[in-house]
Amino acid sequence: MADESEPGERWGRLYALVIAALAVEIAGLWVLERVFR
Amino acid sequence: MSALDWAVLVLTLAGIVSFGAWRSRGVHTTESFLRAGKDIRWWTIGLSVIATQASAITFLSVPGQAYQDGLGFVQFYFGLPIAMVLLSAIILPVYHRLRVYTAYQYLEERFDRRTRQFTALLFLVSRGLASGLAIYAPALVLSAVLGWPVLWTNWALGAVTIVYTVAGGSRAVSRTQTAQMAVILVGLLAAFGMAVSLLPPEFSFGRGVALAGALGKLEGVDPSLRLDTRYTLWSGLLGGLFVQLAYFGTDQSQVQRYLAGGPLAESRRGLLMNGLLKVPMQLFILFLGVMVFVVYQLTPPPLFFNRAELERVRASHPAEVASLEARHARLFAEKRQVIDAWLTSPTNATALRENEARVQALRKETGALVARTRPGADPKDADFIFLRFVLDHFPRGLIGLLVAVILSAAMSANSAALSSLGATTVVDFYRPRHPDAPDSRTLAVARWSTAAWGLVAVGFASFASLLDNLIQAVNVLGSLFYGPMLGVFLVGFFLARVRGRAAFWATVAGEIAVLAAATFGSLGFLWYNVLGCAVVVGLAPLLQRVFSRSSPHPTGEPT
Repeated sequence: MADESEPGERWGRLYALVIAALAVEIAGLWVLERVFR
Repeated sequence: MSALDWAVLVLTLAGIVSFGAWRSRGVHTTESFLRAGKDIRWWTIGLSVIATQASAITFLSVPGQAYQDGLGFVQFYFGLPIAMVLLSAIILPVYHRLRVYTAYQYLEERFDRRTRQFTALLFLVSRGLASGLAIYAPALVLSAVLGWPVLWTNWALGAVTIVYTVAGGSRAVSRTQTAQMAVILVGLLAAFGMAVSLLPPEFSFGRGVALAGALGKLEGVDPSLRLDTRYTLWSGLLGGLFVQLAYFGTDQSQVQRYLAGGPLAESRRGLLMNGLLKVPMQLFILFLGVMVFVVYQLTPPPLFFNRAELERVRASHPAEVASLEARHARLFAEKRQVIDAWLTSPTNATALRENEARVQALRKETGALVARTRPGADPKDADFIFLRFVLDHFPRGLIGLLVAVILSAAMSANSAALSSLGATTVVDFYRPRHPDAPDSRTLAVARWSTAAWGLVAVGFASFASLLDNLIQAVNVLGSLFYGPMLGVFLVGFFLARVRGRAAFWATVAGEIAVLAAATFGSLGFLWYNVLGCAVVVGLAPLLQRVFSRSSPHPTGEPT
């Protein structure tokens, strides 16, 4: 189990993953609308 | 509902409550009542956080919203993943370090007791009333569609929730929510599969999506900078971030879920799980609504989805309803021809859109007839679309499961609310006055105050029918208090010079400003959040200067 001593870098990567997933979702929606317009 | 549906409904709900009771046995201390437990893992925290935000009205309203306006509502949630990252990185470590039970304890550490208790009071009032509306909203829709009496539905829903929340506390809430989320996810997947299977054999899923796209229902991102459009990419990212930070950072019903008592890493991962899953989940529910829309392009839809209301209008104005229904049937017959023409030439969707615009106009005309002939009745039927679809098209058993989904969502959101109301009452008001009370007495007060809040919520739900517009009421109620609450927390985190006296009076001024704007002004209610927060953040440093001048050596105030 991870604890408080887990390196900040690893959390940084997780934060980046969450933001990247949002960006992919927004881009995906934008493409979906244009493909099926 | 058939006997099979009742069996599925009762067994599902009984199973959930039994699971929660079994997993939360052994709650004999205040610590174990107020916190879910040290052994709680991140996926339980994540599911619990998601279940707390997803109330019954989410599953009743959101598909209906997509049916009418497409996927655009998803933009409201774009700020949520960013809020989860900021919360995990900045706010959560502070709460964890201070080992607080409630968010408001931080305010005493940072400012003083009266700032803490005033903010806690704002939470108690807003969440106490909102949980009443959250019981009443699904009870109203279920009673209209299934014929259940509203009052009894209120009390049954409230009683079950009160019993397991009082018995097992926060631990029961979190454990039950994992089972409730499982039922909700299975129900939603089954509903989606069912909607797709209702498409005619010659109409593939891909064609259904293309039809939705041609009718503008897949417009999920609006990059325009228009301020008069409620949901755009920018209002979602900026306004959504603001709302979600306030909700997850300062509303104890959420704070209690992720401050479960385990390691910081588990809380963080739970919040980030919410950040990863929330947008796809909302998108899926909206997409379900879009598929319902597609099915009703190929199968005749009801003229008005709140059938009970339409029948009451028919009783007094039969000719007008019959005329609307005849026009509706003609439009549907035309629609089939228009769709066939579109299938042969998919690039030209003009006729398709024109036909749909006429259908929408007719639905509005029907709503206007309802409003004209039955004063006080809701002219909108969006909240009824999904449940009507389920009842008209789903097989026996699956209807019971979908009603269980709606009731599970109602119970999960309300149990979290009641548990947090009880926790705030005992931690922020009882304990400071009785610091030496034995644990058994504090636990009894926690249980009784949780039960009392449950009764307040159900009592308020029983009178909620007096409110004109329910959803509006829910939104306005939250917006009356969130702004100053977020404001005082932001001052605490980012304005190091501001001390207790200035923070307290700035918060009071922020709340007065919001109440004055709501009473005398014409400001849109979403702006109350901004106003309240801005007054507190803007006024607190100014007041601090004034107070510092009048008393250059403030004592007894922690910085």
